[in-house]
Amino acid sequence: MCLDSCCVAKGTDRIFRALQESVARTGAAASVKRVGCVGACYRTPMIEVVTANRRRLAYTGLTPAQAGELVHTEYGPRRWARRLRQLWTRGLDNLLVESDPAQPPAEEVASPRRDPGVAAFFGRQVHIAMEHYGRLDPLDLDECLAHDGFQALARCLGLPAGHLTGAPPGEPAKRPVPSDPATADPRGTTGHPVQAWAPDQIIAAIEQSGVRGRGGAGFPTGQKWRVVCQQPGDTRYVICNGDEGDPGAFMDRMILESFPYRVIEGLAIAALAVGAHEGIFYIRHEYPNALERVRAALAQMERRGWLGDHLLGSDYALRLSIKEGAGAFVCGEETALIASVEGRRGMPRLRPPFPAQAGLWGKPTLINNVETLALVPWIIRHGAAAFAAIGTASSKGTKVFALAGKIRRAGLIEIPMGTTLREIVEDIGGGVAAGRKFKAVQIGGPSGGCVPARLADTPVDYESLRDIGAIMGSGGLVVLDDTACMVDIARYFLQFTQNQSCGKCTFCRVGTKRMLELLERLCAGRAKRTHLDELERLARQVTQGSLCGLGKTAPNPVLSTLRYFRDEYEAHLNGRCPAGKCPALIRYVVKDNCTGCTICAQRCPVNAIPLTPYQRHVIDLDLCTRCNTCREVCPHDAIEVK
Amino acid sequence: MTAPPPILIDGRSADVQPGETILQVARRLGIAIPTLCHVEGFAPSASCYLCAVQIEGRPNLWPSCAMPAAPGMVVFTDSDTVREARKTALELLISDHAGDCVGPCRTGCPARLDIPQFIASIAAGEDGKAAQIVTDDLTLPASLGRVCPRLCEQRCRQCEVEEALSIRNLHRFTADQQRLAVRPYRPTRAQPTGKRVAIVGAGPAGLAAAHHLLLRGHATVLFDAHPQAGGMLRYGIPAFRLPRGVLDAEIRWIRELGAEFRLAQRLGRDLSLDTLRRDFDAVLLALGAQGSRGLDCPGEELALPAVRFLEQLTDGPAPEVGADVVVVGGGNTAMDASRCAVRLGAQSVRVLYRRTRREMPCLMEEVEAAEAEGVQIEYLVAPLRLERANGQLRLTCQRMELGAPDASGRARPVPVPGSEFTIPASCVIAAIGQSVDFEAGHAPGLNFSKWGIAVDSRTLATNLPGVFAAGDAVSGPDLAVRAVAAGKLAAASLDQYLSGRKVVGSPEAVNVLMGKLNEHELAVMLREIEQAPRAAMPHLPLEQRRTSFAEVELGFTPSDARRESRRCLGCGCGKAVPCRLRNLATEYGVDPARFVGERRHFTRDTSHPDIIFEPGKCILCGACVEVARRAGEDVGLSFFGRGFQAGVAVPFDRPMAEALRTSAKEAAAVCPTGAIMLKGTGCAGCRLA
Repeated sequence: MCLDSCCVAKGTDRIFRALQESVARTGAAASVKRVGCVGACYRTPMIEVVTANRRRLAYTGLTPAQAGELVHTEYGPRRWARRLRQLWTRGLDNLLVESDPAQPPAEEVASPRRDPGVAAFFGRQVHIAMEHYGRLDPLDLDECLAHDGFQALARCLGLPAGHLTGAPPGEPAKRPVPSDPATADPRGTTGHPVQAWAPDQIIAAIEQSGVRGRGGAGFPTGQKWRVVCQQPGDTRYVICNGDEGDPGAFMDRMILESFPYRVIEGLAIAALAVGAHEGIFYIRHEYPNALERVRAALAQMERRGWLGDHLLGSDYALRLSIKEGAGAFVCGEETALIASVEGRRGMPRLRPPFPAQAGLWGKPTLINNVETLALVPWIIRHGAAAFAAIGTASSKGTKVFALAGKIRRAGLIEIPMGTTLREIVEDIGGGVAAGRKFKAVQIGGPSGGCVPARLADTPVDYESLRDIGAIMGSGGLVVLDDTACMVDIARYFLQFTQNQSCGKCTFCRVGTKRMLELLERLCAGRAKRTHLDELERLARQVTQGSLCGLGKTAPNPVLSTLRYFRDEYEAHLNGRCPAGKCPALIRYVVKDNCTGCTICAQRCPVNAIPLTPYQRHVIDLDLCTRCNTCREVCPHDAIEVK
Repeated sequence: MTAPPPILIDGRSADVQPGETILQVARRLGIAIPTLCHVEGFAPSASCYLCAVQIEGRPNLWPSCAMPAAPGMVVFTDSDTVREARKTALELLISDHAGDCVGPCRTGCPARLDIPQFIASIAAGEDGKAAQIVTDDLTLPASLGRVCPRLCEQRCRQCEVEEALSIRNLHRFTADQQRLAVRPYRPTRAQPTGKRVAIVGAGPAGLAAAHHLLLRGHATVLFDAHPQAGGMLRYGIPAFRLPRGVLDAEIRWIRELGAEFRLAQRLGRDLSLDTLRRDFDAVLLALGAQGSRGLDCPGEELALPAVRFLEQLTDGPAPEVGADVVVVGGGNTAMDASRCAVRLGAQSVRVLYRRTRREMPCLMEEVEAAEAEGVQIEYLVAPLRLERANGQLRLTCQRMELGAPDASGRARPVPVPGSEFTIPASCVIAAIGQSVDFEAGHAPGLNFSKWGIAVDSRTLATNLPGVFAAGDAVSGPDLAVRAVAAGKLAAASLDQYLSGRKVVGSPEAVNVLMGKLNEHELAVMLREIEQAPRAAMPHLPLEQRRTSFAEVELGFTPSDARRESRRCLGCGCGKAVPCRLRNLATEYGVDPARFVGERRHFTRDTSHPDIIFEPGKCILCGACVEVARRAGEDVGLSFFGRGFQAGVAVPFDRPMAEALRTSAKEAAAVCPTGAIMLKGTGCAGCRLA
């Protein structure tokens, strides 16, 4: 079972404990294992069962009691085969999360790879940052080592690969002298002495892989490393930017929670490449589970003597520490992040000078996003060419997205660059709900833009997305159907950035506020054409007149919706919300097919519907707050929005 | 090896020294780039974006205070995009600026008398300083102190709690004190320029222009058709409201300043514009609106125009009005005429007005005073015809009712059919209104508008070079204080014209006004003063009023004045003049009302011994935070909050006195706005010091 934050939010921790207890009580021949994220959020809480003959079965939607019962009845000693047969014949309807009639038969669900939905969800994915997803215990260092963990770092350090697997936990590490082939571990997988990689060799590999920053801006990672490497002076720092903050985006949290060793390895390789001996994980304190896992992972490594003076037992010194962010969105911006690490208020400053030139404590500093660092070990292990073979001409490798919104299968997905938005929405996500129309994709969070459905064949790469007014961003991908009001969406995202502005720049602090007020005016049906013109003019000036990315990109949701959905803005000028979303512009009307069942009247929170059994209901529009409850509860779809 | 290419700023090239910013290079070249958050010697804040520039080949704008200058850069500091962005930045800052630059009263005064300042001086017992402010800002302060309809008081913040401050009576008090002082305040005149200006019309506009031209060293000659100077103040306002001695003394004061008067000289009869233009360096036409409008009904010639009536009272033998006087009209002139008729011994004085009391275009206290003196006012009555029979006048009228609003926004009176009635009268006075009685024939080539002489409203220049016009002659009949203001503006334009500068009038600084305050904000302002009712003006006893032309309003005693002045809330900002935000806003011609939305609340922290902190005026430049840090303050100042709510405050809610123990004065000095100001620097300061 996955015990990452989002799964725990769905109760997996309680199910996990129930399973453990049940196994202990019944003495079932089973072990209960914590694993990392699978990515199929839409199916959580999910239990995957691997049988003795390596069959894989999955159960979703169990309560802790049902889970405990499951162990007892199906996997109890000597009885599991019989019980499993019963299970197949009886069906598992009550155990399945999807309750719609189109639900596949139980035995197909029970075998995750054969479920067409699951197959489609995973079919297009390529897992690099999420390699070995859903299999490994995030904190089991030995299991990690057995699955290629730290091999890339070992190779860069010139340590033979076999050297790592042999070290039992708790025992002091041997002190190999990797640069001397004579003492290299003869048990290395190649069987040959290994040579440490020069920093330039590491950087060249990263450059050749074509990997670009996954935090959103897409700056070539290798180039960044090289700039830091070339700076004068001995002291430099590497920082892992784990201040993920876009609403709806949680890729970095997942990677930190599920693959903490991979990120540590990536950061260590980066440190090696740029010559840093100190590295910092900057993780927001709202990610307690991620913090705990990274902290535990660092402790495990320290216990083996693999951090500090002897990285992985080598002679390279690397100290890693954690800095908890206080929760300001803007601290994801490099210069604000540095200010925060230094103990100052997280406020950005002008770049240049870039952190690569003068960063933490004025020293050259490399800051990379969590996901970027998680890709590094794979690139070193498989070679730059293998990575560069994935993706498009300008955007290489894979990208993890948090796929959310009005979609059937939501979750964390890792796709090759160049996958089209339509493939993501329709193949992986299974499209929007029946009867609804796919309208747009909001990509890139509050700095991103809305891509209309007609441009859904745009491939996901940095340049293509930029050309249509969106950005790759850190990985938020929200699918919108025809119930979404684009003015309201723009307002939502702008409200977020306005609240999260550090307040420094005039345009960002006051300009976004005035833009927000203009959008609120539009949503309330009180805007005139001059207001729309002012909104557009101000949006461009806010972009021009802000120091950091937050302010520069804050108007993007407005600009992109203006670009593709201007007709909706125009409709709001005329007092109409085409999506029926903006409360001031809509009213609820009861249709002829109302049976007078009184459910709406009973549920209306403001008593705007008189209790009149067997008569067509009437909504008092003066009292009605447009909360949509009546429409949602009506069993006859008799309430419509006008 | 070739030398590195120079940087190009606005087409001018310079070599770049290592570590230099674009701003530093630009300043070295003498190119002015505005800044607000920048403090020389401090690390750049780069937050206000006023110093933004464009750099060729790069998108967006770059703060020049922080942007390192690099060889080969091509920089534009004054492009349309840059100017537009700066203007927007200023407008955004102003939209969230919780403070009044100047008191609302002052923006209400057409002559822009510095009301909070002179009242603060009275409150502090500094009558000399008050006199200086009043005399410099306002021509004829004692006369206006009696007749002005007090536009200032309508905007007074005290209105929201009590009655408005008695501003007019306070400047009357100051001016009266001056008039009677042994050594009154004498402004210093500039060196004579040798230029001479002819001013046609010695009314309030002409006198004000003369006053301000004389101070600037120009010689002035005032021509007037009447035998005495003063214009409508003398010929349109009865002595019981404005005693002649007061007006005479104020005109004498201008004469002593150097004005030359040539009276009983009428343009078109005794003078021509051409001659004046030839004999003088410039001409100001301030002839007023002396014509009367008739009753607009048959027999209107039988009525006595109110202006003529009041003029006769001043110049000649008092006219015979008989026992039954009927005054037609509802303005101040109708009130003045009716009250004069009472004093001339009429048994019955009736005022006929075609609308109701609510629509009357005059001060209510004038109506009340007239009624107290026995004047009867009949509403919703309009004249139909006037006849003379047997030596008696017979005025036939009809009743009216109010209909839909007309162009002026007032309800249009509509006749009630069959409601005619006739009243006998010994005298009918027409107080319908005045008009400009100056014809195009008297000034060939001069352009006219619908109301009077056509001028550029910014400068008051007419279409003829060197000829300016001001007052009622431009606007049609209007308030004396507007005429005084126009005269002051004309003097500024004339001065520019005479010294060969560009004529721009006197452009006003941008003023941020908070508008209506919420209760918390009002409480902040009220905290500083004692609550007291408005001081009452002592009046002449009623029995004496009806029989004499002696002044009715007797004026404040010094203790009245002192008490009343202490009611002033001291609105306005002590740093309005050096405020860099306001100065740049003025320079960039911002529209303070472009962005209307939520703004911070007005608050004021006066707990520190040396400074006043008004966080609503903070632009978050961080200069004070840095000053405190550099001074090694233990507590210091800090940013707080996010987004629109972000601000600067003392950490952990400690008192300001703890935050800035040694660096308060420096913080006030670096603060570009009035967010931190020294006590005792402005109106608010006087009171709070």
